Amino acid sequence: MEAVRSQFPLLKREIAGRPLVYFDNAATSPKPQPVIDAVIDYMARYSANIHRGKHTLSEEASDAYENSRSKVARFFNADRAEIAFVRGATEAIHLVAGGLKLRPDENVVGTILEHHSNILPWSSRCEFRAAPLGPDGLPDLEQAERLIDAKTRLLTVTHTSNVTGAVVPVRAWVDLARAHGSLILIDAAQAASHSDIDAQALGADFLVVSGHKLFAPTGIGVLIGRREALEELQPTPLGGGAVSLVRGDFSFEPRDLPWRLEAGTPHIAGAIGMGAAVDFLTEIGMGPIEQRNAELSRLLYERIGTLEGLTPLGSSAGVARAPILSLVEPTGTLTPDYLSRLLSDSYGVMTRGGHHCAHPYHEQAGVNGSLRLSLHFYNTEEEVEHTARALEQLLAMVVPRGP
Amino acid sequence: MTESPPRLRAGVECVAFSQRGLDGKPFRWNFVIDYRTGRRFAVSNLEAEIFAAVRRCGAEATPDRVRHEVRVGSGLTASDEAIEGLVASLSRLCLLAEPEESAEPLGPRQGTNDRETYESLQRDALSAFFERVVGEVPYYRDLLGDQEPPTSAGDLSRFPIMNKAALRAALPKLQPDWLTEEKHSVRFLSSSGSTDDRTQTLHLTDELSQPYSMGFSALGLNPATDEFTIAYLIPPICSGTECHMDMMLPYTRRVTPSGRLLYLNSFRDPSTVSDERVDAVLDELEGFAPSMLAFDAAYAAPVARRALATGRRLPSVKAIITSYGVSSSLHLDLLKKAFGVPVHDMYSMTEAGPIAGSCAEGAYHVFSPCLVEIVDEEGSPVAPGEVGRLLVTTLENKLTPLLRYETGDFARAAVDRCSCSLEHTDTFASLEGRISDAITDTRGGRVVARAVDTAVAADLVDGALQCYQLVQGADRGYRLLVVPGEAYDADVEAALADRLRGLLGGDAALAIESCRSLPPSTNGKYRLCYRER
Repeated sequence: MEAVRSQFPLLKREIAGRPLVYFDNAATSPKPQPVIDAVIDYMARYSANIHRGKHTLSEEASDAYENSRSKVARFFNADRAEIAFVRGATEAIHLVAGGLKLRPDENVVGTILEHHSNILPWSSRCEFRAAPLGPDGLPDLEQAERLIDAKTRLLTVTHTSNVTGAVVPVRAWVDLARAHGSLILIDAAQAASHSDIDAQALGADFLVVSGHKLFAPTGIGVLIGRREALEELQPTPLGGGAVSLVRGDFSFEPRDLPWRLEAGTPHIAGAIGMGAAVDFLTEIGMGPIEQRNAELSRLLYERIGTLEGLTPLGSSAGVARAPILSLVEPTGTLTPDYLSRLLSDSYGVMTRGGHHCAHPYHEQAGVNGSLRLSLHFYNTEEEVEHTARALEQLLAMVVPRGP
Repeated sequence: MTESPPRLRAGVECVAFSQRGLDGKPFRWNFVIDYRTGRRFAVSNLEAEIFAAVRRCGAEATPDRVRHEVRVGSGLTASDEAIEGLVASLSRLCLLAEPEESAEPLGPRQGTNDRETYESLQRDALSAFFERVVGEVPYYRDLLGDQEPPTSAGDLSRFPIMNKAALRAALPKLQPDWLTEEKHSVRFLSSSGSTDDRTQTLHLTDELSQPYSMGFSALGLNPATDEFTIAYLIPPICSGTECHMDMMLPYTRRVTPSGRLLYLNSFRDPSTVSDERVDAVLDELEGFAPSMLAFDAAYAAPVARRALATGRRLPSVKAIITSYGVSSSLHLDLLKKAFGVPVHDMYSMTEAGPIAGSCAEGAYHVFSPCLVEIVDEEGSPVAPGEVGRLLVTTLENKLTPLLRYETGDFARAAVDRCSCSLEHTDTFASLEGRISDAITDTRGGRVVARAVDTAVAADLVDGALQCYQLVQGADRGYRLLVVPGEAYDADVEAALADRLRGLLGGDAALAIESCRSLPPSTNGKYRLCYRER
């Protein structure tokens, strides 16, 4: 573990007089040295635009960029043509929503568990119908099916909740979409670094990923799609790089996939960094990462999820989870914001307080925000224990032990 | 009983506070408070009733009438001696009205809390503080357990200074043992981090509002009266994060249920705020008609400027309270000119509450729940008139008590005692700016924000500048960023260059750049100077 941890320069920082504990992986992951090196190498040695240049640096940059696409394709078991680099999952969903030319009288069926980024791109274009959660804290598939009608163009669901860490059995959602002739989009922003995702096996029409939650730089992500589904998308936006020809009457010929979906100069450094990130994960192995995260998740729920004075959100036995735990202090004295600040400033533990871009979920849970601890494979049992003791100390200040 | 009818002076009230004792039983504290001087006197329940009777009698408070009012009106069995004793005490404490109304304004006569008594009370409070924190707060028990208690405020210099990092690290251990043993209503507060290091502190909910009332009362303002209404115009940032203040919330969501406090809709950048937004503030000020204003001067400046330019009627207020750091005299002068009232600065911080307020003479009077030290780098008191780090000791905070807490601000030690009615209190001459904002001159000497403001803004041509910021570059060069006013011209610019070279050194590499706007820092506060890192 120390060998892995030593690759994260961020973990060498000290806050509150001790090495920091980074429990905010669901917001963004720390960057390992290979990713940093890859980005710096591009910036320092061959910083040039891709595809359209003929000089040495441009060719080197184009090679590195396309090589990253290949790496990402292999990582998700997709075809190169099915990988479009985008800014992140939010832009990927917008690319699909805009490309489908949704009409206001059509609808998209999703769930109450979704991130704002998997609600607003749809609700701003058509009706968005949200399936409620079942008693197990997972989106209720039967209720979702009742929401589907002839006007339903697409089903969408998060693979892994960014609030509760619950892993949704997305294969059943793909089957449901197929049964009703709808398209399906899986939001894998949170899942991509936690689960071994095989795009071919999953069979979803669209899969969206944010690089920065996958140990890659910010501002990069991918839209992964079935070739036929991507072909159906009207490319938006259009611009340089997305077309092969613009005629005198301004009509144009779109380029092949995936470039038609990548108008303008892309985030080249980010894409190269993402290639390095998937290399980093591949070297460790997604199998061992999944196993490690399952252990951390169990420890997180057993040690911190059971602390007296805190209530976990969406807690339910028997549900597979990424090591993500959201908590509320019911008296309201320790608001999520204060808990997060106190953990940071007095104990060096980085967490997140707020709604985690999931207002509808928090509203149905009847809470005004939560404290989220989100771990990843490099986190340690000692860090969990340190955080648990910190929370116990903080709770002792506001929740007396006596009668 | 005194010969003249005992009539209470305006601004003198008797206030009761309920508390629960260590035995769990409730009891009542009564205080006669002189809001004009900030003095408080504990009185018994019987004396509180006699006081109320005197109050009810008003101008008709003949001895017989007071006796009648006490015995019949209140149904109390109070002896003549008790009644006369209290009235005599009120007289000795100058709490009775002068024969003539014109003699009412504060003067040396009200300063009966002589220095000797003040210091004696301060020693008692410090002794009680030390005993309390060593006895019940683990952090201080570990740190100071074997040390002799301080004998006076001047004796504090032998104790360690607590900085913000230490506060953050020790927060749980800074709470008293009894906190975890019974239920208390507590609240966390988070500082904005304007001195570079944000902190979280824990407070008893009951204690949170009281110090601010005391802060006002120490400035001679009585927040307990129905006439006291206050409008705030402050940065739209709370605890270092965005808050609702710039979102044009409806009036009903910004006024307190009592209707006595209004948060005006604020704005992100006072240097670019539109006339329409400022007019909306002026409309609300006119409608709300507050008796007091509490401003961040940089945010209020556009309001004052607009009112002066358009001839808008401004509410007739008693005073303006500024806060939120060292204000530029550009802005303070503008506020005085527009509103025509005194501007008092209240120095407070989240961790400690209100610490001091400036009087009409400009001196900062330390509020009695605090002790202030101004020290050099070694933690020893600086000489009178010198600038040093400001430390505060909070004598009354039950939770998160602070001993020699490094505020992150510079202040100038007083030279003489203030001549105002609060002359008996501890004072310091001025706030000089945040330590983190200080720059250096070409010889490496420290230059604080107040010195920069004096150089740039003092006696400057009226209307020459709207705001400014002096930035010291990493290369030790200086840039004065100015948002020019209508009177800005080449002469002003040359004068500014001369003044700044006088401050920074004749060989200072200085550029003056005109800007259309100067945004505040991310925490919403303005910095008059800072050094690029």
